[in-house]
Amino acid sequence: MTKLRFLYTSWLVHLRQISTMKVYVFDSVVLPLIFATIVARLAARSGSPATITTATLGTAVMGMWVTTLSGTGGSISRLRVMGLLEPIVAAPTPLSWAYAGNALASSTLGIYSVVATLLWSVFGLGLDLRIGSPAALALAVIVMVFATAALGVVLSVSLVMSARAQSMSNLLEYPMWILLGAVVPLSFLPRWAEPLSWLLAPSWGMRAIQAAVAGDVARSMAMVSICVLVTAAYWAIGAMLLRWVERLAREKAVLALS
Amino acid sequence: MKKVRAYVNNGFLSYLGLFPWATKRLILPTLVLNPILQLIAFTLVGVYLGSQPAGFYAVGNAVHATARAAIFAATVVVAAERVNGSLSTLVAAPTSILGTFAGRLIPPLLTGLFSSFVMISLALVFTDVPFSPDRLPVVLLAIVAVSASCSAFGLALGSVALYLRDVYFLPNIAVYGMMLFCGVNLASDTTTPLLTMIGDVLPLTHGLFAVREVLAGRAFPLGAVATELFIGVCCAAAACVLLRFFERRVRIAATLDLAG
Repeated sequence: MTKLRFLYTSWLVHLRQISTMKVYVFDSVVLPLIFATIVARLAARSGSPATITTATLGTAVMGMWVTTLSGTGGSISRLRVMGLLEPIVAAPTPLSWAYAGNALASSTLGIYSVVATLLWSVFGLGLDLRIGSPAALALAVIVMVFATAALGVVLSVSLVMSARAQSMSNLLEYPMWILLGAVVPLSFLPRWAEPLSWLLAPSWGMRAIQAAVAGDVARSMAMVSICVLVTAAYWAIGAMLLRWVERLAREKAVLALS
Repeated sequence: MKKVRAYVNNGFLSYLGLFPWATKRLILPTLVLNPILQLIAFTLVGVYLGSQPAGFYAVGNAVHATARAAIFAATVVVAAERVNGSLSTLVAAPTSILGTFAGRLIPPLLTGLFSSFVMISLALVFTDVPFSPDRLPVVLLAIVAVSASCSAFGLALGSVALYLRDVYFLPNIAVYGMMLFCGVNLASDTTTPLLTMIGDVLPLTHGLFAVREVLAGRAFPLGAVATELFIGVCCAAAACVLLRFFERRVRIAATLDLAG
């Protein structure tokens, strides 16, 4: 219970912090709108409401991913610059719980992406978005929040060890676009892409979103279940790795290096 | 001449100091790998959803890499100097702030050109863009025109960044907005009159058009390159006025070192 309260407080503090920072507002609201407009203009040619809806929602999910990627990395860098990373590591609460709140806050901000993109697409671009099952979509988006946050926690492992790791993790923005099948279906890509996407928790969330848009509730629920399982594995692996790098970072005394 | 040399030297020295990520291990991933990933992602999206061949999207995103480097350069100078606590010294120094900023744009511009060149080469190798080597000088000329106009645009945005707490917001909008307005990913049949109208007054649009025309084997569109350079001159003039204005504003309001 104490840990859950800690997680909630950590999530709330980070969410309040990042929602006042323009760079995250840009990542979670403005960037998805720009990408959604590009994708919607391109998809409009197809004339298929399903393609337009799926592609537009794909850009919203990517907004969630970009926010998580920059939010997780950015907050660790900020903590390091402010000299707060060492006290957080030294505190009795496990580091993984501190990072979980941070990553969850970043991906929660991604919900703005989904809402803003949907509103923009309907009222700004006048698109005829057709969502087969709005309830299944809402569930899939919530699961997606946890899935992207879990991926953020796994990635934060490298950030504890090296301040420059953020530059490297930023490189993951576009490969995720491709491997999640967010805008372009995986069947359009080389064969090796699909097995690789199975390893990514958010790709199952994306499949659940696509099934919800198509109105296939049974498939959406199945994908949500797989996403939950893979996400749980991510959280476990992330916590384990963070314990390991925490010890390594203390031994090598690299926490304060920026 | 002595002054120009001083500004150029200052630019290269500050590049070493202000771009801490520019180490051997990180410079290639940042300058080459990330733009290539953008190119691959948008080429895939374009081929899957769009109306143009892969080369259209690949070339568009390759040239966009130059614009990105040029626009972010001026902003990074303001942001990094602010973090280091040296921005106020820079503004208070007796040298011209315009010259200092312009000098600091040179190294990122060169790296941006390098990045764009690598990406165009990749686009030529992996997509269906026809190309004959004798057209290389004119392609380079058009890319240099894009670099020049985007640097001037970046300088204008950088001057506004002097006054803002969050310096990255405006350039981010400009860089990603260009992907929407300037024909990077949207051909004339997929864009709207409003988007075209905005794109027409922005840098990159006409230079990118020129690059595509030359690569397609058509006559060198001198008018498009001249328009690109004219927009660059307008942006440079705006940058001069804005730098003066915001330099004075931040002194009066004492907001130079405030970061958001």
